[in-house]
Amino acid sequence: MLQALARNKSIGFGVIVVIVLSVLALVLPTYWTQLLTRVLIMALFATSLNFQVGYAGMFPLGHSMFLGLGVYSFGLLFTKGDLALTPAFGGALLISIMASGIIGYLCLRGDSMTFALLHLGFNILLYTIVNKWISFTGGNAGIVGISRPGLFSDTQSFYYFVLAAVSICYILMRILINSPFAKVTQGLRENEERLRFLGINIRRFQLVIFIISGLFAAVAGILLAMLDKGVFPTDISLTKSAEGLMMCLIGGMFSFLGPSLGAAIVVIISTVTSTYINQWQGLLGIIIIACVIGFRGGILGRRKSKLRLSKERVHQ
Amino acid sequence: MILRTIDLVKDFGSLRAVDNVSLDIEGGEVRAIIGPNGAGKSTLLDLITNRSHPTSGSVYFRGKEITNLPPFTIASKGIGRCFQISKLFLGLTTFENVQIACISKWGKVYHMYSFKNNVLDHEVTKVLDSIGLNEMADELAGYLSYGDQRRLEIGITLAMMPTLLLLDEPTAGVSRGEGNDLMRLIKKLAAEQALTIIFIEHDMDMVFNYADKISVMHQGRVIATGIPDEIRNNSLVQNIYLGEKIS
Repeated sequence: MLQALARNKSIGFGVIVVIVLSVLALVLPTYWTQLLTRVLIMALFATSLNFQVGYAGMFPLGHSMFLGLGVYSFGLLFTKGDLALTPAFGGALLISIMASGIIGYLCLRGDSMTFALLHLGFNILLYTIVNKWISFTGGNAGIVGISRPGLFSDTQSFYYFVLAAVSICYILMRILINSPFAKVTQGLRENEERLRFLGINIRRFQLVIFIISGLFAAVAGILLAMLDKGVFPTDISLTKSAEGLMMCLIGGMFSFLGPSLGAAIVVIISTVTSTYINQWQGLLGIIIIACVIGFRGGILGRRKSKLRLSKERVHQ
Repeated sequence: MILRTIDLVKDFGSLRAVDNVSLDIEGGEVRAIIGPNGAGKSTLLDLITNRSHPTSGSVYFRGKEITNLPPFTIASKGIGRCFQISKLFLGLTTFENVQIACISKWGKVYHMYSFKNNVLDHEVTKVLDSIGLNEMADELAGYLSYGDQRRLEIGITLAMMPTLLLLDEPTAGVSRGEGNDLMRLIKKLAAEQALTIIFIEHDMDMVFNYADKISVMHQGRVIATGIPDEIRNNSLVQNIYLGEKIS
């Protein structure tokens, strides 16, 4: 009963957030609307990452490769493949699912350290390919000339397009988070071996989590390509991967909306301060250190982090 | 015959931890495995569930060979395993701990949507009732007392409705009274669900009170198997437990 109420509450909360975000675009100047669009896209990226980090206890160090896969497969299908927006979108999703299936299969072959390092390795490999294969990907300069859906070409209407797309993704992820699948995912985080002895094929289960996570990151990537009207290697860089992890860490990886809050903080700070301070990444570093030392579990994660501390006490 | 091991061997480098162990366990039997520390008891359970891979030999469960199957397949065939150190989802509630086992048992692992809040509510409550942890349902597993954690470990395993249950020192670290409660509970549930049980135990009282048959291990070998009275009077066993009176 209480839980049912809590869920209704979260639906209500979601509706209010969407309304506020809709109104914001009406009153904010273009610069801020554009920034907010980026926040929404990166929030989707961070939430997709957090499904692995916060829920499953997996630590992918190179998650930007799936953002990049979305960006590049969409961008290349659109510019080199001469596809219209919708088929390019569908094709990019398909490519991302297949790629995350293959990469996931290759990464998930040992303990979590092996996974993290293999993941990092693939990220570096893909970044290098994108950066060096100039004739195909444009190398360092990227590719420009990606258009937005016809009705949504100006900043404000594109913002609403992104808001709608991201909202749909959030609803899907929210449903997923409440499912038996997500319950088992949390079990994976807590005790992998127990799960194995409950008859669950861990590697296959992790692969499914991996593909879902990669899929939502790819959607974020496609939206990012539309926002920037181009594709750039920074979208698939290690810095982006690290930024994603920072968002989860700062906002709180034990809550559904934590990484979104983290995304807002990281994107706004990096954009706004970079016009004043040259070394904005230093500021980000300070925030992370403060988060890890000051409030473990991030801004939205205090309660849960206390639980985890107590768990450590039990272990001792 | 529900479980049969044939000439199981496990070498760790030059150390032979399990040495040609052949066991026959009948359906419905409660079998205790005893022996001094380092006799290879836990390793034997690891070999049966393929948690560690046997150097040679084979394991048959209900007439079919399971030696090389991955642990999760063996688990889903109906062999439940409780560990010496409880393996629980400590950051989740007691309810959720059992719920995950039920989700697996009822084939809902890959169900990605549910508009019902408490999946398998009824089944979970039944298990919690049977292990007497219903009042602790919303408590984090990490907050439970040690004895309750042992109970929960058994509950999670029973939620899978195994036909064979392997228990590694189920009563270690709990008080004598609690240990007795736990063993009575296991016996009762075993009778209700027609379970076969293999348990490792150091407490001789427990062993002689609750086991139908006892196998004694020493230096990797099974040196005697029999009903409690036979084991009590076996001179070889008495030698191994030198000075330790078997009551």
